Amino acid sequence: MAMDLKLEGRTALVTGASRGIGRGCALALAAEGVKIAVGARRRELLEELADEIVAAGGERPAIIVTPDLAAPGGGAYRVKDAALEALGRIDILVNSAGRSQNPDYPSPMPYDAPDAAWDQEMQLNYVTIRQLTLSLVPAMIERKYGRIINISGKTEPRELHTASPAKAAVHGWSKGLSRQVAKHGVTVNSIPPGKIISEQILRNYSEQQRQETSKWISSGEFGDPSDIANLVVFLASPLARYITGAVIPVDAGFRRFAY
Amino acid sequence: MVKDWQLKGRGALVTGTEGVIGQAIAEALAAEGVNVCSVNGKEGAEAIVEQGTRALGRVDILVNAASEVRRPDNTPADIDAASWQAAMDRDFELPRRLTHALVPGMIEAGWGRIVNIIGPSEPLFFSAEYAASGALQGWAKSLDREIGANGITINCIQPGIIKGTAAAAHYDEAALTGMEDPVIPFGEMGDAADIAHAVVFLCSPLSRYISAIVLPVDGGLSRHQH
Repeated sequence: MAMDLKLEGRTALVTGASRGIGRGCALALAAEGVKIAVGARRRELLEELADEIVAAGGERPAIIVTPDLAAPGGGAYRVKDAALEALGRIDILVNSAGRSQNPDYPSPMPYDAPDAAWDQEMQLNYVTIRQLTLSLVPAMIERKYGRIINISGKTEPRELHTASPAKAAVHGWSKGLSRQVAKHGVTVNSIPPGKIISEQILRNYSEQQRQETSKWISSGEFGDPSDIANLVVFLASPLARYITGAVIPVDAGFRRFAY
Repeated sequence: MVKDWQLKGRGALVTGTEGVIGQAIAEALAAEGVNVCSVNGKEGAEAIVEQGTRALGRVDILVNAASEVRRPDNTPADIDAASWQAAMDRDFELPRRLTHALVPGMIEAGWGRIVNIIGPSEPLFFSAEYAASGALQGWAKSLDREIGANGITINCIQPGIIKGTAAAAHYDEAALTGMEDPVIPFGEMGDAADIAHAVVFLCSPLSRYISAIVLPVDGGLSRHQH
């Protein structure tokens, strides 16, 4: 029998959905018949995404304008409430909101950067993910189906920047959670993206820097958000029921460690 | 809605099809319209390559699934030199030789998929097979650096404990999946189909940007967090 994703009728919340990887994940899940809620800061971009999904024949996603998820406190819980109000339940959570460096500071992070500059990036890149996930997991356990998919990072930092400790926290926390919920049909996996063309990349890398970076990519080319989204769709499906607690790079060999 | 994995018409050489995992892989690829040449891996690399290219014309996909069961409770003294060599030949040299023989054709075609079914990275006991599996992981990562620019991906899949395999016969399912401290958090041994699904995904053009990875398909068995 040919391999069928069996995702029609499932529900998903995708954060960071206005651009780049999150946007690609939203499009790909919607194309497989998943009812989605899309969260980001910028409403007009989410509306554009929603229009595109409808034009492609999908159901219009629920739009959630999120608070600043780097701010301290419980912004994640408001996102959770809005998603449940829109969809009733969340089967699939794609944690794609995040960034590689505090935008108010240069890279590498200065030694004297204040605590708040580090804390807010930990909040965005790890704490928000933990808060959102743990508030949705009990219902997934009850329904015996859940998919937590974190867009993380390769944890091979070239220098000091704010995302690397947070992404490492995501991996460690994901491993513990995955072992605890596995018997309930809930999987937890993380995807370190390689160099994916996105608004963030185009903002952070000059053309020359992109060419330099390409030398470390085995394929020689930057990837596309759809490359990440294709794995997200596979992991979200029942076909990947036995894959959990994994860190699965989508990076055309960019990362250096072999194992 | 049936998903198109875009594999129709591709040619795949699959070793180890006398085992449940190899067999499930061959069946899953065939179900996607792939022309499959199944071999049991007992012959030498040259004979296998000749068989595959004769049957398929061009080999687009190579799945190395012919590794053997690990025998537990070995000490170094239990494994003589010939046994070490046999393990390395079967679990590392054969996949390596098959890959090196078939890669030039993939480079010429500008497309290829190599998937290796390997052992775990967390040895619970001493065996020659663990050494061979480690060699294969390192080789695969370095080979990707060399061939990745040609539309070829090379990946390893690490099955957990899969029903029907010779390895599974060594384990008491109840002890592995007991609720107190389950060795397998999922609660059951895996099915060969779980591995086959991951192989189809890694062979598909949809995974073109995934290469040089080690993908555990193990129900949460492994402990490393990266």
